[in-house]
Amino acid sequence: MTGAVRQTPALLHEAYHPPPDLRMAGVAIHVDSLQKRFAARRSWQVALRSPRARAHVQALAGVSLSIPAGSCFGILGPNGAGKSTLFRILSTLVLPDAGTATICGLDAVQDAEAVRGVLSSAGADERSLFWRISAQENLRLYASLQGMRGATRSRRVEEALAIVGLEKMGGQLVGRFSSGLRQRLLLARALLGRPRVLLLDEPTRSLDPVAARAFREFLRLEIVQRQGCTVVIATHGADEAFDLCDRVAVLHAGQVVAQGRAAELTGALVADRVLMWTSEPDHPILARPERVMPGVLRLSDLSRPSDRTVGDVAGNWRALTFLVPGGAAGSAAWLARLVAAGVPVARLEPVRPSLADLLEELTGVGRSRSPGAVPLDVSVERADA
Amino acid sequence: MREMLALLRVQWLTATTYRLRMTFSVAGILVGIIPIFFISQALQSMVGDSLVGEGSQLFGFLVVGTVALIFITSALTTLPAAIGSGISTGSWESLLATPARVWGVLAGYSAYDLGWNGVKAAALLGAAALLGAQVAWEGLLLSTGILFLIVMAYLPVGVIAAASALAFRSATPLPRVVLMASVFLGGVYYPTSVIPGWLRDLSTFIPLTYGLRALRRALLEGWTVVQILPDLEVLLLFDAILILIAVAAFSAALRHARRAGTLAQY
Repeated sequence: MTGAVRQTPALLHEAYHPPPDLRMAGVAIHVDSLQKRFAARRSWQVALRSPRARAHVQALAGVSLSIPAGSCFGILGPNGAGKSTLFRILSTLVLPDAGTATICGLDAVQDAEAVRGVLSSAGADERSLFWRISAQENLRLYASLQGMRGATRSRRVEEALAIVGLEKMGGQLVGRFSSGLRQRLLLARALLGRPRVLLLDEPTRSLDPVAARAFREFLRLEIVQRQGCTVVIATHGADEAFDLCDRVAVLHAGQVVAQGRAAELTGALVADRVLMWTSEPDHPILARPERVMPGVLRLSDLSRPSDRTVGDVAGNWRALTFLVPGGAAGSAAWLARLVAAGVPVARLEPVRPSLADLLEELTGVGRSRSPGAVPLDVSVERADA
Repeated sequence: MREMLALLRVQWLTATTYRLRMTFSVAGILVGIIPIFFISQALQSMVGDSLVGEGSQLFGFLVVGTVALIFITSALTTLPAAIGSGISTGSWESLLATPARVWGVLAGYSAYDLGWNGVKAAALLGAAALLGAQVAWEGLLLSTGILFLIVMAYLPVGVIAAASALAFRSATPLPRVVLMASVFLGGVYYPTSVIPGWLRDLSTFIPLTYGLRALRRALLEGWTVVQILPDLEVLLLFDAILILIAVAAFSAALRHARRAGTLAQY
């Protein structure tokens, strides 16, 4: 393990598992060509008609990933992309059909017990908590299951409660907690054994926007930076992935369709896209912008975000999307040209890509650009889909 | 052991939040003994001869049968219900994701229910003694051991049923079938000697037949371990065979569930 990851004291893991063989220093998780398919449910009619036929759902189709130790990594993908299956394989709860998954140098299949000592998963299902007992007792149970006893156990329970800000509510029944508090408790449960790797599946699903933002900040500052834990987040919220994560992999239909640093990924996939608010959307410059500034394109598909009319008292302001190469400097030059040409511009801002944007660019699924649309060049560590 | 104690504590704390249910659970046992007392008083003269060697007193005979029934019901049904519920809530998956040993978790799931039934059985036995049941108290320790062996013959069936829930995501009728067969053929409410010959042969395949006979002889007649050894040997054989089958079945089911991804789907 690199220096970025704090060595956990011999509190638990060393007592029950051999010290991990860190053959892959600097890499917390390495996944190679991971495949998994599940049997699909068949109707009685189908089963009777073809009793021997088997239908399968391909959950993972050769996923390969490398997650640096001490980083925050996002697995971004729509529902059914394979995120949860990947997490379950890493948590040793599901066996892969092919490929390998290595966590801190330990094989998820061969060294399953040791993996459970270094990796912890905070699922999104609050029902996995014991609702009729207190938060403290919930944590005490899991601390005991991880081999902690006596004063050590009590201290770790208190520490975990404090980390998630529940230290004053530890004695309350979990059934009386709000959904957000239960999410925090799930996180506290996962942090009990000071895991080296923490998997979070849709961690802010049940949180309101303010709480979600606070939670992300807490994850980055407390868990990743202070605790030195490698955090892997599965989400279908692009904002969450790009706000929080150093690196992101986009998973679609069981395949990694792109991965890389968050900024590079968005830059490459939905690069230089800007949203401009104007009251003269039909201005000739805006109709053919490339004649004024080479490389600038008005995206003929204006649905992301769409031309939106705002009920402004001063006029009919509309938002248009352009592709302006050159990043911030390019946008500044483009704005100067517009102003010089007398185009009223209220606002010019970079467009943050949504998951739908990314997937559309990467896979073409849902593409609705008009025939004149220009395809974007995607080159950042794009996986072979 | 740590898994068992930790889960036992959680289940105890959970149970204490249902105080009324706990109270009714014990009260139900104590109230339920009254009709047993009167019925056995009424039938004593008719069936007394057939009970020779198993206490001779119908009331004591029925009380011991009821105690055994409480335990085997718990041994058969607790685990499949706990695993089914744990799969649907996700708690089973969360327990398996820890370094805890799976057999310790299974023991923890069963321990509270069996322990609580021990309390109920003690209350039942105490109440029966007050009502005049002839109990050979010197055989209490041996009887506890016999009860343990009986439970260990039925718990594996519960484990097999839990394995079925794990592998096929559906409850199996196995515990009910075994329970009914044991009640009818194992001598819970009548001695196996009164069962017609062809059915009596079937009762030799029921572990409760041997366990209950040994239990009654120890607890109601004060027989020693040497005197009941033949029944204990058969019971131990049942235990060994059923435990082996249960371990194999559950291990296979767990492997299947990990392959099929059914640990968290019901």
